[in-house]
Amino acid sequence: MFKKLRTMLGIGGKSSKEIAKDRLRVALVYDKTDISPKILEEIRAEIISVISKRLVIKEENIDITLEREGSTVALVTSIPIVKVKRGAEN
Amino acid sequence: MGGIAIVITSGKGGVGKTTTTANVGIALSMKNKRVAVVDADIGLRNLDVVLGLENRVVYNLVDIVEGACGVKQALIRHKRAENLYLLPAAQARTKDAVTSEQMVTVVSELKKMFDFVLIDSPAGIEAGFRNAATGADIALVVTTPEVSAVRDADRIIGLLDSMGKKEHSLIINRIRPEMVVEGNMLDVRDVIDILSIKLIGIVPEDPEIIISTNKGEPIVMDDNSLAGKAFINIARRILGENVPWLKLEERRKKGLFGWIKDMWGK
Repeated sequence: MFKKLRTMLGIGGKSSKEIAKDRLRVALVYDKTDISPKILEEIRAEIISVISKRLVIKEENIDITLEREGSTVALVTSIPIVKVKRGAEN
Repeated sequence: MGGIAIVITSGKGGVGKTTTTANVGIALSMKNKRVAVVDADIGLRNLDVVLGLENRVVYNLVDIVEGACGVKQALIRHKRAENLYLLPAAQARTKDAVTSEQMVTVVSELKKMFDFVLIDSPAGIEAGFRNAATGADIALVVTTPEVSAVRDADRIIGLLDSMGKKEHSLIINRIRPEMVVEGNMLDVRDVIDILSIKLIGIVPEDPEIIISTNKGEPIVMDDNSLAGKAFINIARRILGENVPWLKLEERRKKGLFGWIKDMWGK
């Protein structure tokens, strides 16, 4: 009962319809780009290894997703930097 | 010249294609249009029972393409909706009994005789769907507000585009306003956002549909049914009328109010 009330007031967790919408969005992008979650995981590991040569990054906080805008799909990632590695400036 | 052929399709099964075909067909015929409804689901014939015409089937679509009868001979006139004719599917055959070219020939023959030719597509994305869609000028894509149905609708829209069928609109069937209020069902805007397609109908879930199908009397013939009104509105929009959307919101308010009352009561 209170869960319902919280949902209606917009506080608390996501409603099941919001979860459905998010899941659908992602599923449709994957359907259209033919990039499987496995390949995305590999891309993630490769990006980390390249970036790590120059920067110390918070690997566990890297979020990599496919986003659809209109008819195009973009690879979007946010990589938190801890510091620049010594000797990487030149 | 001639009529307009409309395919009713969805990808996913069980979302209401046949119910939509029967009801929109009858609604168009009640607007004094001559309508043929074609059951393209060969091997899984159902449009005849939904329309209450199952006892009158003699010839079918496969008989026509095999030359056993003419198009006119196979058509069954509805008892109450006199402008509506059914072309049944074969029941004891499979989907490969008809080719795309044969389907186009039959549909163009029907377009000469009728204002509208509604084609009830089988579920799936294989030959049966392609045959049903190939002769159509317009597509109506039916979905329900569920992830599986919406995902399949997206796939079907992509396939229709690739077949050059760019004229398509969406019908969202079986909306439950009380679940939308609770945040437990995708609403119309959510579905439209995801599919980016023109909307032509919203149909509320209505237990009367099951009763009307039991009887073989499509729900548009029942004046008091909300789902029936929704199907009539779809027919009017097909005819180019600008019809306001059914006010499911008022029901939503009532639902919300009722829910608060329930909560106080407990």
